[in-house]
Amino acid sequence: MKDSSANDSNLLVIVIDTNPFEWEHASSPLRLNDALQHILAFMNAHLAGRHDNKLAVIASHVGVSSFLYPKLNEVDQPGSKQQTRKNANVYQNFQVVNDAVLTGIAKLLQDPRPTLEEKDLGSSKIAASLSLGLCYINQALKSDGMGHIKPRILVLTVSPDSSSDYIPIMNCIFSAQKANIPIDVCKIWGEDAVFLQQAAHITEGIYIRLDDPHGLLQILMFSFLPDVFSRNYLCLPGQDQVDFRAACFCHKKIVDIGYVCSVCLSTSIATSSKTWRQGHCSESKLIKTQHSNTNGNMN
Amino acid sequence: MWETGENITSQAPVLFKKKQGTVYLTNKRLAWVQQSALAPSVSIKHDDIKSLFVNAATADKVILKIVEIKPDVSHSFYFSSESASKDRDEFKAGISSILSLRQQRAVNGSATPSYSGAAPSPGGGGSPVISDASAPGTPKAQAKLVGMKRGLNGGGPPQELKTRFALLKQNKELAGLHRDLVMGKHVSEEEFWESRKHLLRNKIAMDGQQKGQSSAWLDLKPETGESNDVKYVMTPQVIHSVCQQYPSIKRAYDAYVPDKLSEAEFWKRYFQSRFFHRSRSGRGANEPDDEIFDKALEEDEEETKSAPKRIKLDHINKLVDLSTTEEDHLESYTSPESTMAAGRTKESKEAMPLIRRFNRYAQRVLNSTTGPKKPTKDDTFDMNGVERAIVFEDLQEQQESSRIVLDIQDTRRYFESQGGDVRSSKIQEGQNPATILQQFYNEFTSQGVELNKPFSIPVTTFDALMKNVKANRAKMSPPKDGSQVLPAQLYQEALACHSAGNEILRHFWASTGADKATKHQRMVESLKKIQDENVKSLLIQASSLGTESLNAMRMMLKPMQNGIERALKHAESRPKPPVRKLA
Repeated sequence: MKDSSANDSNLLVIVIDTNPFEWEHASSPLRLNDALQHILAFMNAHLAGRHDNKLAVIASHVGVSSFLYPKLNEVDQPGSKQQTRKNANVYQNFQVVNDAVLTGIAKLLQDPRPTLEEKDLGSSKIAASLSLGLCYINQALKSDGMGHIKPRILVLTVSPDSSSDYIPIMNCIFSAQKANIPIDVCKIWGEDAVFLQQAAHITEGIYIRLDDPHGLLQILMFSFLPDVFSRNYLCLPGQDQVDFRAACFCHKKIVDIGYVCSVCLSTSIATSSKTWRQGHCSESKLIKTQHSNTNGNMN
Repeated sequence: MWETGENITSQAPVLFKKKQGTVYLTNKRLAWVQQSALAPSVSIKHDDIKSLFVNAATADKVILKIVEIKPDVSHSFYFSSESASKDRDEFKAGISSILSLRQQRAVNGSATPSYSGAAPSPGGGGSPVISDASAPGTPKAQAKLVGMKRGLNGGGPPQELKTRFALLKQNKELAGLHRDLVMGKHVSEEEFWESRKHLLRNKIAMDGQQKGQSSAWLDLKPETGESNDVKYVMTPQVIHSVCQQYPSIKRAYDAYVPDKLSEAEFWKRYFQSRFFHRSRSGRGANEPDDEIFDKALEEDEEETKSAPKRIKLDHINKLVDLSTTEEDHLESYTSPESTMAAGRTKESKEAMPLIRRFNRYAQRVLNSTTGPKKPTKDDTFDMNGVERAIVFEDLQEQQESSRIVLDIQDTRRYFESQGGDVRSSKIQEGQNPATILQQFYNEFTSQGVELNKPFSIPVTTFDALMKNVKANRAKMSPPKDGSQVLPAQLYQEALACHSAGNEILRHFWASTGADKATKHQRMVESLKKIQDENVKSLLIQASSLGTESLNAMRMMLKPMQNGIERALKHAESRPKPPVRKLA
């Protein structure tokens, strides 16, 4: 990838977590409509930043993930609603994006999900959205012969980590890392999203967990609007510590010191744990490791 | 009953396990034969004997105890005859000499395999211990045993002690750490070296290497004295080099010195000879004839003129023998190179003797170090050896070891554990997901998103952001570290304290096992001491130099203090080891 310069256009892929079970949950401090007000304003700000800035919006819904903008493989029907809602006071590009996002989400929500399986309930398809985003970026980079597009991904999430997504998410993280695509993560409320925290750390993106979701727009504008090039000169907020500790394979406890099998990389508190070994790891392959956070370094 | 070549050196009637029999010491083993039995029922090879104990001479019974290298195997013989103590002394002397001989061998680095395998047990337990009068409870005997170990500064073979000492002398940092920890009684000498075995190994390997002879071409330069006389200094080293360079001189030297000529006379004539001056400019032919050195010169020139003998091609390593693959190249058009034979042109012909001389000299220097290369049986690769060389283990088909393949049936459950204590979104009990979806949809579409609405951003948001940014910025340019702020002396002290603390922490975590409870306890004490004394004194010293120094010092010691706190917390949380009552 060529060095970034101030004249590059930016491709921002925004992944919006639209998990209804989280947004609709009794403890949710912000409604989706309000959040979207902030997010749309942010999108417009990004588009306004440069004439050739590009945007893609992906909804990470329950059980499905789809593009909201740009609409792929969809034939515009002449005389559709979009034409009639034209507003003379709004910049055309903003209008198109806003409408696409809102109608897209509405469509997702309206769509009954006959395929909704029991196990999918409550988990958002972040990994699928990341994959879509990475594919879209790849396509955009390929079609751009000049190599002037600087892509990045911003994940706006409310759902907790979905455990079944662990491997897909990790794969996405490593592809993004390889392609030099930073993944920014904004956890709008709730506990830290451990997987995404690691994603931001590995891809040198920014991870922020909001203390007060009502200030969403401020956070977005402040932290996530600057493009990849400007980030070199800015001091942006971000996480200070990442939880990399692993969990014991059998006790499900997070451990500081543990034994790691050098073949399967599973972790355990003790070598004697029978359930863990079960013959697949012989003792000679075990390496005792200490989590680095506990080591003090002077210089 | 005895093996061939086995000689009995001493024998005596003894009781062993309350049975009458005879104990024999042969040149190979110690054996006990029960009365009227044909073969020895106890047979201990010399190399298997670890140590030997005898009880006090004044005791009623005359006992000889042999401890084998195999753990927990010992034999006690009760000498039963009338001359029991005399018999035992004979055995004691015999076995002691065997043990001391073996120890010597071990020190010389040629320990027998069976011995060296058992030797590196900590505390020098593997080294043969010979002690007198070890009847239990005899204070004198115990004192002697302990004294012997203490004399070696905590045990270990003397060779290792020497290495340790040399290492400490070489490595200042290590010496400082050693001073703090061992002299400060935080860890014992053995514990200190336990974690530094690789250093000792390296050191031993380094010391074990022999320095070869210098390969420099000898250039004899005269010292010019006051009265313009010329003086050559012949040290044994120079003489050796001359002989090395000119074998013909060596032959002459061997033939004439010291029978026919004194050494000084020999070298005097050498320096006057044509041999010596031929390579020096200008004075070639003016030298007087000298039958010894003229002959040597002749020999020498003959030697360099003649082409070196062809190397015999009997013992060529098959792996580099090109002729073995000749049949693969029948089709090709290459033929042996013939234009580049040495000495074909005039120039190269003149240079040949010199080149030969250099080559021979190089060869001799090499031989003096590695020994002349003799094609031995080991060098010639028999078919087995060739196979060994060309078969790569990596390319072999892997033998599938029998193992149970890990099969995670429910990946969801496994990865849930990986994510820590993260809950998945919960749908409240008794709620239908479909209704939630419906409700959500209705709410979403009915309210719409109004971009014109003013945003109400809480004030705290910006404050939190700024705080975060400031913290990040602070991390990017860390405050000046101790090396710039603190005086050098104090900085060194802080470094030493840090490394000592870390070392003790290492020992602390290594001794969490149940079998090392006492050491663990000791480490806890040491940690507390470091925390209370060393760290405090450093902080006090730093605070007297101003807040900047104090902060720098705090920052330097923070990680270690965190570690110590954590360790102490761990120590407290763990059940106290049962206090063993001392009888």
